[in-house]
Amino acid sequence: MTDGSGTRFGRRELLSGAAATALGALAGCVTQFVDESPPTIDGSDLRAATRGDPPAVPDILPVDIEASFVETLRADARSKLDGTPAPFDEAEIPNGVIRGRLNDAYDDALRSIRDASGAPTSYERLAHAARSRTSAHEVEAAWDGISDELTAADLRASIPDVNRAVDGLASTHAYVGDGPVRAAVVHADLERRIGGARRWLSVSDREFAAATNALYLAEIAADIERARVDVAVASYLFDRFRGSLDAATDHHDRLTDARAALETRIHDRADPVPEERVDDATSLVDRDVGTTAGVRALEELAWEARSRIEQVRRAEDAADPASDVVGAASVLTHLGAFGRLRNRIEGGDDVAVDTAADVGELRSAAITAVEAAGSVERGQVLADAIRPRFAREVERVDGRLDDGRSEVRVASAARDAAGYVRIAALCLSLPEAVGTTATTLLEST
Amino acid sequence: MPSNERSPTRRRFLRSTAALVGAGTVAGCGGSESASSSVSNAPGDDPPDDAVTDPPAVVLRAPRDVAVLRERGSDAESAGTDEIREWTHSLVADADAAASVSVADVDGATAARRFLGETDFDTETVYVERHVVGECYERRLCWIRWTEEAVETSYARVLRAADVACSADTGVGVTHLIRLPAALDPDSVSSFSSSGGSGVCRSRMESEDAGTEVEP
Repeated sequence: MTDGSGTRFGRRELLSGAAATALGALAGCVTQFVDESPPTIDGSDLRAATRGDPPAVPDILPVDIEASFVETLRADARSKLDGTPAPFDEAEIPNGVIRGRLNDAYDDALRSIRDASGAPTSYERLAHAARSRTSAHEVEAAWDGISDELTAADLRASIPDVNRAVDGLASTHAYVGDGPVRAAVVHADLERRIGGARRWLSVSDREFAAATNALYLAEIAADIERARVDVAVASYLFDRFRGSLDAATDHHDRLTDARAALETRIHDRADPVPEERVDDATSLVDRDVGTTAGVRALEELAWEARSRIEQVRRAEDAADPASDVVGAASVLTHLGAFGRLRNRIEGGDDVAVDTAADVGELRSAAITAVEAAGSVERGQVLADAIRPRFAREVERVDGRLDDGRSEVRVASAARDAAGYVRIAALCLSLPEAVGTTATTLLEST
Repeated sequence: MPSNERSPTRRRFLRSTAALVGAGTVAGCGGSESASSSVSNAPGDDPPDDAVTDPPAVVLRAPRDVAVLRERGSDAESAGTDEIREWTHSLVADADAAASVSVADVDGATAARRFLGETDFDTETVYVERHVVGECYERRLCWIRWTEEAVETSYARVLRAADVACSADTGVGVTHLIRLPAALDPDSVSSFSSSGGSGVCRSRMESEDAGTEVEP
């Protein structure tokens, strides 16, 4: 949904009021003192420095996902779209906001149907196919709502069945596996889907009361469909995984023990990371250095590490031990990256950006680190689960640096290039972190 | 009455008119009037204890460049279709001021005139507030509260039905005339604030019919 200015709000944002706007806030009251001639980098030089394909590291899951299952989801999506006249025109949906939103959902469904056949791994194809079904369902539900064939009462009445399906899956889900590392990765995915389904189904009375038009109805319908898809996919993956095991061991206790051991290890190593975001990033290093790209990356890593540590603390009920173990590997990666980068800067490397060539070097280092992290001595499956998100971030940093400006202030380029520094530090730390996590899993009982 | 002399009544309304066309009602840097609000007053939040959630009100929709209310006889140019702002507000505090208000020829104009005419200004005041919103949305008043110095409102932005023809890229002016059960002195009211958000008014979950909007 847009408000005419392109801002998009989700159903939960709407209902929480998080999208609240305040009138009367007085803009333009801050006088900006600008350096007359800040140093700049030629935009074309910067574009040249960020040229070249970013590393492609697809998402994978160590489960054999059949093409037929993906195709079933795609077919469901197509069938839902075929039941509507989408894309909609003004005669079918006169309200321009609702029409635009549903045509966006229609386009998203088509794109996802397409990507569900073209993505490089079966896990990615599955993700696109699942998305195609929920987007198509949103379109279908909206059209049904417009045609008075779907009401809030219908949606409310549909939830108990899906909840029962989630409960059924949760009751049969067991932490079976062969190797504990593979089990951790697979069951973390299953935990995420089971938990996600429960959250999608948590539609409040206020949300139903607010569903006064077809779009809001469709948003609730899409959430319920996401829960259905989560259950269907998790059930499928669990069956496929369990069926692939020659000798299944229940790893629940091992995961729980490993989780506790990793939490202790994290807390032992967390001291150097400040509890709060620091006002002056240079205070993170014991050296006289400016706020270089490296120092900015260090600040970001410190904040991310601390946030993740707090998440580990909050997850003390150990309800999702597999997710906690995978999350612990991520925390250890951040802690390692923080220590590694701090040592580098304190050792005399400013990790500064003055020219486009500096940016190019940082980018190359990030790409090299992403590629090197593709092969680890221990915990390969875990590394494979974490590394793709770092690889995707290279492209995001590229986009920020290559935004068409003819001239870019050095300070701005350094701020963006800090992203490369952060990615490199994380990837260089990933092998040790997943190795530690894998060893902890193997040594737990 | 000479055009360059204004009676207290006219002056009181001129303050309103200025607000309606957005002249000098929102303080800029160093301005004397305050105009602020808080996102904590989003529609999903409970209304403050001293707020009224269902006051008598009339709502008018009009193209965003139409000044729906203006002082009768004022120069159209100075009333300013080129100075329509996102948010304007004013108080109509006595019968003479109400009589001097002309209502543009939009749907609901008759109801607005009647609303002003039926107000007992010995004990009541009409607060007029206008926002520019997307054509595909309604702006529903969640609550209003006031003191002798300040008026504060909170609104919910609600998407209109699918069969309402509207453009996602067009804004319209939505003017609320809200009757307050207090005789306020416009010269004493120096602070205006208004917050808004998407969603529904918490206090309106069981009563959606207040402030019925008059469609153009």
